[in-house]
Amino acid sequence: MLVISMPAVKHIFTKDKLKSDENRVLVQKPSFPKKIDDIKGYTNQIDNYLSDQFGFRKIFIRSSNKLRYQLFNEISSKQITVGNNGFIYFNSHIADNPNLLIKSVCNVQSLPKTFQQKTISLFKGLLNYSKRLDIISDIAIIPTKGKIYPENLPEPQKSWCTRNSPAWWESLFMNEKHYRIYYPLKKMLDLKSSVQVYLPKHFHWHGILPNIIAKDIMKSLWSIDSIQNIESEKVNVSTDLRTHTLGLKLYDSSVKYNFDEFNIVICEGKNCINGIQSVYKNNISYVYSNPLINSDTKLVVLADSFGQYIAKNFILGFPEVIVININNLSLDEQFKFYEWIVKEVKPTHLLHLMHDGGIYGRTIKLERLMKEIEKV
Amino acid sequence: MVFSSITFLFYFLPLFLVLYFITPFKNTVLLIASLLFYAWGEAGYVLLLLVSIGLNYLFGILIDKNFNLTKKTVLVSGIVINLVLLGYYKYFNFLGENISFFKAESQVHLPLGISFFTFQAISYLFDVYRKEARVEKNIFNLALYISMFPQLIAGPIVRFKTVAEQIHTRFHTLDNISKGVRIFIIGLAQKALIANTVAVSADAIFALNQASLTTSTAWLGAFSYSLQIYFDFAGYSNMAIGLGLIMGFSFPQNFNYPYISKSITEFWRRWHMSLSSWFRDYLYIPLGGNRVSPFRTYINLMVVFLLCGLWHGAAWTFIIWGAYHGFFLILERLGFKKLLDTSWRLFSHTYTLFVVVIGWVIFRAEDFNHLVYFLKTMFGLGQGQTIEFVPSLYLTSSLSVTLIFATVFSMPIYHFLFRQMNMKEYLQIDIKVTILKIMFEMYYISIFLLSLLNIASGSYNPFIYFRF
Repeated sequence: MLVISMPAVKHIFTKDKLKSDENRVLVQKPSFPKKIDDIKGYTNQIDNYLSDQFGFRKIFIRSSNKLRYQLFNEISSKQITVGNNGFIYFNSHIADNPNLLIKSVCNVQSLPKTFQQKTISLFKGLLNYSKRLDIISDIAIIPTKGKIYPENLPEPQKSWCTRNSPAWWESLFMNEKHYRIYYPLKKMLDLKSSVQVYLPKHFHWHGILPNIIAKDIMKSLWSIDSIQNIESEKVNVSTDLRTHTLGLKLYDSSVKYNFDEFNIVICEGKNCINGIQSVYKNNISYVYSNPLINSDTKLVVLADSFGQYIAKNFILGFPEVIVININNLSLDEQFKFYEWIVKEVKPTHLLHLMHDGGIYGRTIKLERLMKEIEKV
Repeated sequence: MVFSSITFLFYFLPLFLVLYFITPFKNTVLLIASLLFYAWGEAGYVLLLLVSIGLNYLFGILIDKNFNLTKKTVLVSGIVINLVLLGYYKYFNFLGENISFFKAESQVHLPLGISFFTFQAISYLFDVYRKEARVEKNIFNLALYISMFPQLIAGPIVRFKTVAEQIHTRFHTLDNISKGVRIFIIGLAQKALIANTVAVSADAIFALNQASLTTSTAWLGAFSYSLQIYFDFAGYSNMAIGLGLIMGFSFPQNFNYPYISKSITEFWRRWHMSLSSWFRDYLYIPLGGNRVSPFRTYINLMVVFLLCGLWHGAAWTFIIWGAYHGFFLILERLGFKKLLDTSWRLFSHTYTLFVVVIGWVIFRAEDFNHLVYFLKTMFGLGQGQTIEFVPSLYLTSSLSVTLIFATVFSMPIYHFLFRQMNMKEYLQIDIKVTILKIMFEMYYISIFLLSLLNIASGSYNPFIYFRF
């Protein structure tokens, strides 16, 4: 009796009910319905509200996650796959469709041929648009963890990803002669023997790899040499999948590069670029300036969540680097935003960077943008 | 509201129990709580429940008083009205799908628990008619019987004669409360720890299309669903029985380890016992039961099982499921049961489980096409050739462990241990009994806490039997 009444008692006497570790706002108390017809909906809302706000909820969730991880080596979130040797994998961006990301990159679930062709044509269109404005424009696609470390996946994901079956877009892009697509799969696989390409508890890249890839992109795409190697120190970093692993203390050892000697000016946040708020409301942007490099180049990286980890490393070859996470760019904002980038920000180099599981989403978004560009 | 929801467990139940035990007006508190419980899920249909209560109250009085009408006519009229209500809300859409005359533009909503409270109401009329229970003159007491929240929406179907006296006078003893709490905890664990876990794979596999389903995966789905439906329904029944006991009511046992049966006849003596005994007493026996010619008995059996199938849901798959079980019951009556009784135990057990599992596939299938391709795939005649939906995708560590526990707990191991313990205590043979007793208490506390953890951290919680 005491046990089952405590959550309600705690709920009633606790005022702070807004915090959430779940990357969402918890359901708030619904207002009482004015019509009888709305009562059914009201009771559902109350159920949702109580499910989100009962006392000791965080403790329950954390304890449950801990227990599950200890007993079964599993994580409650369907979007996480626990592999062998301490590896965890982010398997889908959609909770209702687990494994979607892994299936997509390991070519288990391929898209219709017409969609594949459309992707190629949209990417070409995007590159042409920048080319017309004299901007050196390229696409970089970063293979995700399942593709690099399939051996640590559990079955059946391991079988899916160890088949050496190229992802649907790989062959299509690789056959393109006029458009350079940077896709460092081979390089990353080769690097496995010498460095930790992906950290076991991370989805995004971290530490050494972004630094290596940034240098490689600058060299292989634009023949820009990095100014020098920089010093690094070992650090312990908490997993970037925290919202899915509440209650678990998952850490990786990584490296942190010391950029202090370059006197880099860093700006992180929504207002780092003048005027961006007028074309992209929910932007997350990073601006890095390196006074040590004497050149009139300017790099803009339009990226997904992988962008922020590599951004700073481009400062080894550019005096100014602007990285914008375009994950929150709405369809209505797209055209104005791209127009503003090429005409107002005026970069010399434009890099469209995404991970291999993000191509589908990027294609969907690009379709409308290209239609609007073609109209102009 | 379901028993394993946050709203019920952490808010409704503690508040109800406090009010119930501190006030002298226990029936009033229970009736108000029951109506609130029903209104929480079906606010718009509380009126229907009240209409059903009112009508059955009147018919009960009429049967008892015998106003210028024969008792039988009143009984039949009462049953017909109950069945018309059930038929309209449960089967109108189905009739519309199959007979153009019943086609309507809008769908009729199926109110929660209508199958259960209608059958309880019919049981009331029958019991009064047969003088097995006295007519209830206080409408609030009858309302309490029909709407009592523990068994309102998913059973067990409690006969009026079983609880008629308890509605008026019942005792709240510490022993009963403690037993009730234990049974409730067992039910909660069956639902939260086993049914919810195996439901994930069962639901995912039954959602696969023809091209994705492979033979091994289909069997895993069928096996998972067989365990899910048992632990889900038995869990709910146990929670209802436990809550009843806490309040001083003795509800009938609803499941008695059905999966250890050695024939389909035995299975139906162990599965959903309150429903099968309802059909036996109020339909099979009035039809003549087995006191008529063998052929007529077979017809009676088939009629009962077709209606039993239809009671579970308005779809062809349920009718097929009913007919399927009816067929095996007739087969066993024709002499196959004798063969089973004398045959190797493993054979009869395997036969029963096989028939039951295939039956659950029929029961779970969305429609006839789904049923056909699922069964074809189970027997190696499917088209699915995929590396995507292989059993290992579903067979996680937690599911594997749960399947093992579910298999073990679907056998009377717990009762065996408990019996052993009580016997030793009685005979005072072993001082280890105290340790064993402490272990049992720890077991209850552990599964209770684990269930709470599971419910509090998970979102998957719908009860299967809400569909019926």
